[in-house]
Amino acid sequence: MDIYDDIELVKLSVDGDTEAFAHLVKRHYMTVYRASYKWCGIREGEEDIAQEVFIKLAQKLKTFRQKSSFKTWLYRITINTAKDFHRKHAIQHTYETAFALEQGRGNSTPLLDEHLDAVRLYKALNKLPEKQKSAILLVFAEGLNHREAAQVLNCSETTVSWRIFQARKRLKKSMEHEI
Amino acid sequence: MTMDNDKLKKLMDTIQVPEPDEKAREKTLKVAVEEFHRRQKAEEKKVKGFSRLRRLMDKTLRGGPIMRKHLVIAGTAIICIVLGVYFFVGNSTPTWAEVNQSFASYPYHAATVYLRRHAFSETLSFEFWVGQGNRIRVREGNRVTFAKKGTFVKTFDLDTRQESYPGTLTLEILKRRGFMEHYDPHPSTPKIDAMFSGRINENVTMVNGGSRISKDIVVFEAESDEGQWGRWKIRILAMRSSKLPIRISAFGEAGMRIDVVYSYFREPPESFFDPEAYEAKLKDPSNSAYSLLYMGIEEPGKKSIPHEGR
Repeated sequence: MDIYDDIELVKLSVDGDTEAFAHLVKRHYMTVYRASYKWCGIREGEEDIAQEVFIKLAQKLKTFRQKSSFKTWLYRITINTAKDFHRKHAIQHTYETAFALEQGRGNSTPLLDEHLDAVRLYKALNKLPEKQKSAILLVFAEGLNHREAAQVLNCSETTVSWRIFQARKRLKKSMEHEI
Repeated sequence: MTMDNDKLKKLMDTIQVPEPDEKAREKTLKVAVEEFHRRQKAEEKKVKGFSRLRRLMDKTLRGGPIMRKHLVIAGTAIICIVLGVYFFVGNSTPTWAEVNQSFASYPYHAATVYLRRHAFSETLSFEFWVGQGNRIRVREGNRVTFAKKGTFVKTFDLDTRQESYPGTLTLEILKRRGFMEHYDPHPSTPKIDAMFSGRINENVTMVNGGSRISKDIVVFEAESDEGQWGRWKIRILAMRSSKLPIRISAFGEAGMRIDVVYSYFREPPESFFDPEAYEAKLKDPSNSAYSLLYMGIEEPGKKSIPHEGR
C-alpha cells in the first residue's frame, strides 16, 4: 500500500477498499495527532480529536473533490474538529496546567527555560481569536505556506497574511506581559 | 511591534509533542475502520432502497427553510427515475419477430458476404446493396450485377467495360431458391430468413441475456432445415435499440461458413440501381474502373467510396 499516493488511496477507499482506508489512517495519524496537540495542548485531548477526525474522514471521504491536496483537506477537518472540541470541553486554565505538566514530563528539572517558553507561548496562543490561532499554527507549527493555509481555512491568502500579522502583534504583547 | 518570524518559529519548536499512546492509536484505527464499514453498508442500503429520495421527500413534506432546495432535488431525482425507466423500457430485449420486422421495414441496406466452402479453403467475398422496389446491385470482383424483382437484369465487367455474366458467387447465392423472392418487400416476409432460402426453423433462441455485450447487442441462435448445403447452425447479432441485425454467421458442415455483415445507409439515387445509367457511365472513359466499382454510393460524411488516394 505504500506505493500508492494519497489520491490513489482515497480512490481505492471510495471504491470500498478497507485496507486502503486503514493505510490512509495510519499514514496520517501522526500529522493529525501533532496538529491536534498544538491546538488543545493535552494528550487525551488530541487523541480524542484524532479519533473524531478519522471518523469524520470515513464519513466524508466521498466528498473529497481534489481541489486541494488530501493533506490540506485533512488539516481542515482537524482544525474544525479541534475548534469544536475546544469549544465543547475547554476549561482553559485546566488545559494550560495540563500542558505545563506535559511539557515538563520526563525531565529531571521539571520546567526548563524552553519548557517555560512553550508554556508561555501556549498561553498566548490560547488568548488569540480562533482564526488567528489557526493561521499561526498552520504556518509556524505545521509549516504550511500561506496558500495552503488559505485552502485549509477557506479564505484568501491575503486574509491569512493579515491574520498572521495580527496574531504576531498579539503574541508579542501577551508574551511580554508574561515575562 | 510584532513578534519576529524566526523567534516565533523557534518558540513553536519548543512545544514538545509527546509520543502517542499506542493503544489510543490502535483504537482510533479500529473505530475509523468500523465507521468506514458502517458507511459502506449504509451507502449500499441507500442505493438499494432509494432511501435518500425517501428522506428528501420526508423533509420536503415536513417543510422548513430549505424546503425549496429539497423540492428541486426530489424533482430532479424523480425525473432521473422516469428517464431511467424510459431508457430501460426503450432498451428492452427485442424478440426475433421484432428484429425481422425492423429489418423488413428498413428500406435500404448493404451487406458484405464472406464465404468459406470448407474448413481450409480460401475466404471468398462479395457485396450487395438492396433498395426499395426489390432492386439489388451486387459487386463480385470486377463484376457489377443489377437485379430487379427476382430477376437478373445486367452484369458488367469493369476490365472490359462490356456486358458480361454474373460472378459464380453472385449466381450461387442470389439464384438460390427463395433468396430473390424473399427480398420482395412484403411485410409478412422475414427477410433475414431469405439468406437461408426461408429455411430458418421456428426455434430461434436468444443466448446472451447475461453477458456484458448484451447491453448493446442481442444474439439469437437458430438452425436451418436440411437443404442443398446440409444443415446450418446460425447466429444472428442485432442491435438492442434499433433491433436491426448487424451480422449473421452460419456454420455449415465440414467447416463451411458464411458471414454476412450489414450496414444501413441513406436512400441512394435512382441511378444507383439503374443498369442503363451505369452503362452510360461505363462508356465514359473519364470514369476510372476503380471509381466505377462503387459509383453512386455516398457513405456517411458525403465521401465517395472507395477513396482513390487523390
